Amino acid sequence: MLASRAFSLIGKRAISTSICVRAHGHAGVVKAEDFSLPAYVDRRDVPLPEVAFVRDLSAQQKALKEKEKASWTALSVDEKVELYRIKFNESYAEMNRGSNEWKTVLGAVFFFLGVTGVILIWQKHYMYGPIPHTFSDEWLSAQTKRMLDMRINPVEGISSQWDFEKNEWKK
Amino acid sequence: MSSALLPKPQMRRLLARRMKFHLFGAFFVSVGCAALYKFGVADPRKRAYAEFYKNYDPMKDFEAMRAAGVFESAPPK
Repeated sequence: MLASRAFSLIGKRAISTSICVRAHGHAGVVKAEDFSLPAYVDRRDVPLPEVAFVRDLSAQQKALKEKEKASWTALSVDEKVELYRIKFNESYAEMNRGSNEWKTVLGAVFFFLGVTGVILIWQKHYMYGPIPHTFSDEWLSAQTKRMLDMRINPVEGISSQWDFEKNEWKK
Repeated sequence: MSSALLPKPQMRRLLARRMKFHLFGAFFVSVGCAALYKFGVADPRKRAYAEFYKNYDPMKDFEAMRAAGVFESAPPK
């Protein structure tokens, strides 16, 4: 619960944690012993969880459960919904609903990419020494001329882009 | 809760439908990739090599390289 609240201060998007959901439908605090008992879970691949969602029924809900033992045609629509909500927490539609979490994730990804970029720029400016002299323009042009003289990659590569008659790059 | 009933969803042959969709999809995607590669990469490359070697004179090429001075054991004339 607390972790979810803290995150919601940084970004107003939902971050899912399973811990806060557990304590929800029931009295409040989840005791250590409960972790060894069968638990209720809202999962797409578990259509009928091991226990009902509401563990301790109020008097009204107990009366409704008694009524459920009789003919179901006597139940009103609201009573049927109430019975559903006793048994299940979220419907499949509610369970599968989308959230805005992707915006937080994407934002965080870009933010940290930016931080990395800042670090790299700082390194290039303040930390690294000069690049080798073989990257200078004079050296690169001499290097390319030598590659063309040697007819490097003449079929599809660099020598195929050079017009040897006119002594210039092909258009 | 609306009083009108929702239409009954598809209950059977779900996997069969999914499999059929994906089998067709996989077939066409892979054939498409193969065709794209053939027409985009393989055939142009074969044509480029054929064009290059159609009127290739290795001795003329050698003399040009020798004149440029790239050979240690065959200096320019």
